[in-house]
Amino acid sequence: MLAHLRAPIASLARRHTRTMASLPPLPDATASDKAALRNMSDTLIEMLGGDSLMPTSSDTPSTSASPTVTPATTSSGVPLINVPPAQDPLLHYFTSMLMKDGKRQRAQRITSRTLLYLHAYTRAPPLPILRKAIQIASPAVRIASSKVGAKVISRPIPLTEKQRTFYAISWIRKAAQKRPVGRSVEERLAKELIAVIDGTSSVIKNRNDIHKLATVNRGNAGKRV
Amino acid sequence: MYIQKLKVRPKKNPPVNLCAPELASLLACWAASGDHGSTKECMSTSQALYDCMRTVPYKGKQHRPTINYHLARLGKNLKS
Repeated sequence: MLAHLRAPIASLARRHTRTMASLPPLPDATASDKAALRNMSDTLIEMLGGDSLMPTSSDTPSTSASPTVTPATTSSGVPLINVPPAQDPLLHYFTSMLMKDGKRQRAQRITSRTLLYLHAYTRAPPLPILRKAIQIASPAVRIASSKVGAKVISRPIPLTEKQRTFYAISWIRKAAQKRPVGRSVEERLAKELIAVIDGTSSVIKNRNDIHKLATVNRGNAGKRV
Repeated sequence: MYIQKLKVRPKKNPPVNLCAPELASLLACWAASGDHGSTKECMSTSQALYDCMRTVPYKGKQHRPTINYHLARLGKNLKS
């Protein structure tokens, strides 16, 4: 890769990896993200000899009825390109965790029906509710236990965003399975997600127990095993 | 001076501590306030830890120190 592109792209990649957010941030991006994107687009403009990155209006004739979308621009007036993912990453991960024996369509149906049940129970958009419930249920650390001589020492270790979502969805699924028999998977999951937000779920107790253990063992945090 | 088997006991690799200061501050906040859900007092501290974990590069498995390999290789060059 060209040397003067490497730094801004590397900084962009650092900012945008390991996140479960649904879309890359555009208007309300942090100052450092904007600076990195601006840096990269300015570098590209230099390389291309000052040409615009987007096609000019003379190439694509637009009808008067079609709405014109003004893309976000950098300070130098260059439009930013933002390519969103095909599917919401959190929903994709949720479906993957429900999937068994590679049956993705079945898992996808369960996810869709769970969102439908959420909407039916709350009369609100279901995706923010799912996101909020998983945020509440996620632990921030995990406890790694190891033996030093005869003693077992427990160390708190921070988790990445994907690891946190894994634990949250795993606990929600197990708690939902324990609900009264006779209802469908989707209904149990939806009720469990609402219970997490209400604060009545056992998932919250799981998370608090881990956090309390971490607080008790916070002296072991940086120790060599 | 001739040492038949020239070797040392090298130091072990230091432990991989990602985001150590943010983790320490969050654990201290939990201990002080009891806000284990990170909703009120510890909200900003927990967000700082999450942002750090999102951006810091993971080091991976560290190679053991190779000092003994080099000593074995260069031991024959020692002036006696």
